[in-house]
Amino acid sequence: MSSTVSETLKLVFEAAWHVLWVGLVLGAGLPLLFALGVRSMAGHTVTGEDGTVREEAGNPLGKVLAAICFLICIYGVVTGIMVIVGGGQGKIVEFHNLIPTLVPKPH
Amino acid sequence: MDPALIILVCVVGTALFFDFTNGFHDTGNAVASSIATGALKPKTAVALAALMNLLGAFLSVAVALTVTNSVVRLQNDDGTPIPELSQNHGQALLLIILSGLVGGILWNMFTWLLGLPSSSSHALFGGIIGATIAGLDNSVKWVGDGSKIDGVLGKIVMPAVLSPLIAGAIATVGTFLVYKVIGNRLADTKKGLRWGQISAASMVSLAHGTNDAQKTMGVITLALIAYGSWDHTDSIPFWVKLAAAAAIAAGTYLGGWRIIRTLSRGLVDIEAPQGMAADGASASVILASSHLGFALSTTQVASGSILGSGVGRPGAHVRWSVAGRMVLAWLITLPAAGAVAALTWFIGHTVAQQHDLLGAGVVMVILIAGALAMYLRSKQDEVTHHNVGEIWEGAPKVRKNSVG
Repeated sequence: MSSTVSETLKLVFEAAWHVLWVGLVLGAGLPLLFALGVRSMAGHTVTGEDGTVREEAGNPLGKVLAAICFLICIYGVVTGIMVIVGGGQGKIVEFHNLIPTLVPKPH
Repeated sequence: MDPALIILVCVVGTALFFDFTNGFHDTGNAVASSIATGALKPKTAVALAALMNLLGAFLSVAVALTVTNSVVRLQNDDGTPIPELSQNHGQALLLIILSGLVGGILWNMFTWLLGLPSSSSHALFGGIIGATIAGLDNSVKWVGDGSKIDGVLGKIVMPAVLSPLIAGAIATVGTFLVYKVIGNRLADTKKGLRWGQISAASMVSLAHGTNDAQKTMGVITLALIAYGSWDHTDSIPFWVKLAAAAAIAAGTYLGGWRIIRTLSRGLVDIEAPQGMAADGASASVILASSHLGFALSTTQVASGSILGSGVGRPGAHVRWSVAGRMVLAWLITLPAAGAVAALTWFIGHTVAQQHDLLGAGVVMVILIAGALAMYLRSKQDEVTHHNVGEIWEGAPKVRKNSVG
């Protein structure tokens, strides 16, 4: 009995540890990238002593950076949707050369 | 008319009612922070969440009929009911499922009345565990055999402890980083952040529709198999999918405003960067867990993320007393739903000794009386989409001179 408890706890902690890391990369990383994209789009700021000065939007470099950020976010969202769709079909997502693919869940 | 058939109809109706409460109880998980930051108007937010839940429910192609197998031993490995419960069109199993659903519904409605975001899945499993303890000797799987994550400990207790902490930590880090990036450009970036938040919140709803509607579909199909009107273990009737999808979407659209209010206003005051970080953390934890086979409660993840977004913003005020009440509700959800279900089963079973139908009838009376009383009680201090965003002055008050 106690060995099954400790085995179960071990598996749970392993899975939780995994979730924490994947979650940190995606759940904190993607919002960070998205915020970076939004901020770059908003143009670079020159802050005056008495508050922000509104620049005209769109320094080209900022837009390129924003586009890269948003593309990575979209990649994350598409992967997420595939995980959900896979969950409905009893499948899981595997990555082949960074391309997320649905494969049957191993037993 | 065959009594077992009438009991089956009661089980199906009650399961759909549970699915409906599952919808409105959990609306807040996906919409609370969007409403708090003003990314979406309250009505728009629940409509979007309902649509995503509906879509999500229809994505459930391969529904696992073994939905109860991780915590109780009512079903064989292929999902069919065990022989002890199969006689008389599975009446014994139907009464256990019915009582379990009643326990889950009444606890869901009670926590909704108090505005507490507790887990609907735990209420359902708690109910089924309670009814199983009452109705069948030694059939609860407290711990799995150690070869995979299983049992009440592995599937419910440990995830309940760990998942809000994980989500909270991720949201704390995310919020902190997003504020660093945004710096003093909060006003200029608010519109842009909105889209990130809406995308993440939609994913939470979509995942919710797939995961939670599937549980109801599994339970209804199990009841049909027990009765003998369905014998495929690898597919479910289309009408079951349609009904379960509609019930969860309708519940979501109704919006559990009492719970939305607690999540959007009660725990922390949420700004746009926090909203995006919180929803991003929830979506990633839910999807990573689903991918890695770690069972968890959407509600606990979403609440943990919102709390974390308060911890991560320098100077934010977190109402720990509200959080404490919520955690208390999490702790007692499983035993409380189980106790209600066990009591319901005893009453139903005792009456059923006299007459089969009367047993199920009494259970239905308990359900309807309890649900109606709590619904009427909620009318005394109603929370709707009109007043959901008012300044927080305390949890919904349930006055002492209650008529419910």
